[in-house]
Amino acid sequence: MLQLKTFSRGGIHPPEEKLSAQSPIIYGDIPASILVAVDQHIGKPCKLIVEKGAAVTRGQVLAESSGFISSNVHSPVAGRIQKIARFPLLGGQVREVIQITPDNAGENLKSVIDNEPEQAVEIEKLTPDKIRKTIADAGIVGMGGAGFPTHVKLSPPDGKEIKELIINGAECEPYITADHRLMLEYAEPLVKGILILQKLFGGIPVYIGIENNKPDALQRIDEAVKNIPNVEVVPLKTKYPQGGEKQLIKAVVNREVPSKGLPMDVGVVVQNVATILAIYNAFYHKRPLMERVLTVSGNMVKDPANIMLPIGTPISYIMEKAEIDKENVGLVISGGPMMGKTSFSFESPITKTSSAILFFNNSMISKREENPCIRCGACIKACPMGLDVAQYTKMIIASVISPKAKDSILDCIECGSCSYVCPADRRLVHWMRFGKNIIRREN
Amino acid sequence: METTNKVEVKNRLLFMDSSPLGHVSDSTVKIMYTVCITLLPALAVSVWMFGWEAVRVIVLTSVFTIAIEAIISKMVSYKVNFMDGSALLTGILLAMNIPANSPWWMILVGALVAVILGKHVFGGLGQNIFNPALVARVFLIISFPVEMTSWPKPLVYDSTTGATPLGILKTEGLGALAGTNLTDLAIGQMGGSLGEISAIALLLGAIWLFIKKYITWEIPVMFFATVAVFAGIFHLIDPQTYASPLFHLLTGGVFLGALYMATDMVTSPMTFKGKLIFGFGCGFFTMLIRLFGSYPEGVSFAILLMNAMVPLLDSYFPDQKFGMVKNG
Repeated sequence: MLQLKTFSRGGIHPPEEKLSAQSPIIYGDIPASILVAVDQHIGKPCKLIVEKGAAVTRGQVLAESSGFISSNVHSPVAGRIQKIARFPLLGGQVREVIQITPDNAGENLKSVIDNEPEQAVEIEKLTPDKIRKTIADAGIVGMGGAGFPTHVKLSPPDGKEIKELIINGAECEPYITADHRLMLEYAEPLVKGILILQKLFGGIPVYIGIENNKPDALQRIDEAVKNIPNVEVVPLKTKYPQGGEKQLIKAVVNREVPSKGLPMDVGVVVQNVATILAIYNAFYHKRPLMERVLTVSGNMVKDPANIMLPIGTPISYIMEKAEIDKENVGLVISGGPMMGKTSFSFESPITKTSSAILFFNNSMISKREENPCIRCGACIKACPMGLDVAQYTKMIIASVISPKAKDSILDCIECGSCSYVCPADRRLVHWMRFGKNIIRREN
Repeated sequence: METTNKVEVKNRLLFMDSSPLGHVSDSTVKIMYTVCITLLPALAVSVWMFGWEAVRVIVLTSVFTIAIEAIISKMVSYKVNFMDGSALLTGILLAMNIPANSPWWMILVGALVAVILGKHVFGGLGQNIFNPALVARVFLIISFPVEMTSWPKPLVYDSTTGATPLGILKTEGLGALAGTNLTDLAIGQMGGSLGEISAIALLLGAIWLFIKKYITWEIPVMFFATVAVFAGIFHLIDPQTYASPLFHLLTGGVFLGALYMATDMVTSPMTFKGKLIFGFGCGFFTMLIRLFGSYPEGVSFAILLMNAMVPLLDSYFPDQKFGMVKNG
């Protein structure tokens, strides 16, 4: 049998729990109230350009990009702005949020989207600047979780040559199946989106990395790209955190992004499947990023599903639709259990980067206490970045961080593999995040 | 009533936690007890060889170490879980490192030294630099040389004394060991400390630890290889004076040391190169002491010496992190 590709160092294999893998994407309704967060990306905060009480249309810019590394935010519905106030987001951070009362509450998203038919696009006539501008205007950010503005990733500075494009279909987090379903149900649009980016970089080779726990998606995409030159599906061995940019590059083209470096330093750009579909929508439907598909799962959900919802839908709305018993919910995770963030409010809205919302009862809440490190080295073996996590976390706790350790701590990708395997239940990645914050503040 | 309930739920704050929100089933307690269980084959051989005397020593060391740790847990400011298996493991390893006819008071002194000087003076579990059971063993060898070398006569095979092969080698030379059968040595039919005699039983237990990935190959393999090469070179130069590599591997504490004492997580390096050098050092010092020192056996001294080097090994030979290779 063919040796499946994967990254070489570290990694773990948590239970996959892909409960919703066989649930086709369903379309949600427009909720009665929408809460669009002003900042949904990494980079400069954007500038609010609407006021309370104003009427907005679907696709209207609510907050505009304030610099190069920034991104527009659009209204996913036509309606009236009820309020602009600070509100807790899914990670617990309190940020400015625009509350909109939609005109067409209750309408199914499917009928809204069907009103925006596909238009012909002549890819050959697109110039690189036009491609970047369309993507920037559409407010597209990395939808895998990081939320880095996509047009920035697609604009390498002079001297950095992009030789390969990698499409991230690894979806290595447990529970999440949104990208999996997108690949199955939107294979052709995905390919159209890929071709736009391939054109941007002058026809470079494209690799679509998909883990082998999704054989149907592998087959579906393989068929879709069969007659397309220079686009290839790369089956990957299932291992967490393969969806991490640096790990995916190592797995697919066997190059290591240097410490402190970016994928473009090794001539690669990585884009997530959902992001590519957002790019497709921006060109073929003239539709900015206003909806996204997310997985609703966890042990409190009777029928785990993949659902397309307007960005800004409060999770209380999802809970109502999925008939989740509010009283017994103990933990709400935005994203997967390995890297996701917990929310403290049922009213927090989904954002551009919410790939999943997981509902768990109290049994998921860890009751384990931190014990002394017994130097077993499990964290070091699990770390995909090859970091001496045991040592660094002790330094961070003692607030004595050696200069050499500082560089390494900043290399941490916060995948959580170390905490996952630690037999002493040490909150290793938590301490690493804490350490990164301390070091960044010092710099 | 129903409405009030709903309002309460709506305003209820959810539990917040830092990811990851899952965990493997491994725990310190599970690791410690697993290691204890893998020592059972070797303990069974000891009981077969030395009878109830061996049971007495094993029970006494275990009870003493756990009791001392329980008392310590009331005296120190940090949290000590005396039933986490680490005290029991120290107790069993201590039993394996002393003769089966050790008097109870010596066992008590050993347990006190292991738990207090070996572990808690450094700050408890995970903080100690030296292997607690070996600290106790070396303390006892130096303090009570007579008791620590009056080996009991094994019950199973014909032998007039319980002297260890290494002891005979040191005092009477290789000629006195002419009739020694290597298979008997591997099974454990020789004099020695309670738990060090059977290479095969120790290996059997260690294989399970390899499968569970609680120990890795680097330290034991380097330890064995260094002992074999060191002994082999001298054996080739002068076979009349120096015993064969296999003899050196199978006698004394090499198997117990390489598989269980040197691989102790707390007191061994965590990096790949560090482990290789650590294993090499253990083997090298063991042979140096055996061939040229005044003690017949050097495993415990060698491991303690290398224990002291661990912080240096860890920081001088770190594993290469991701993103440091040149992409060609």
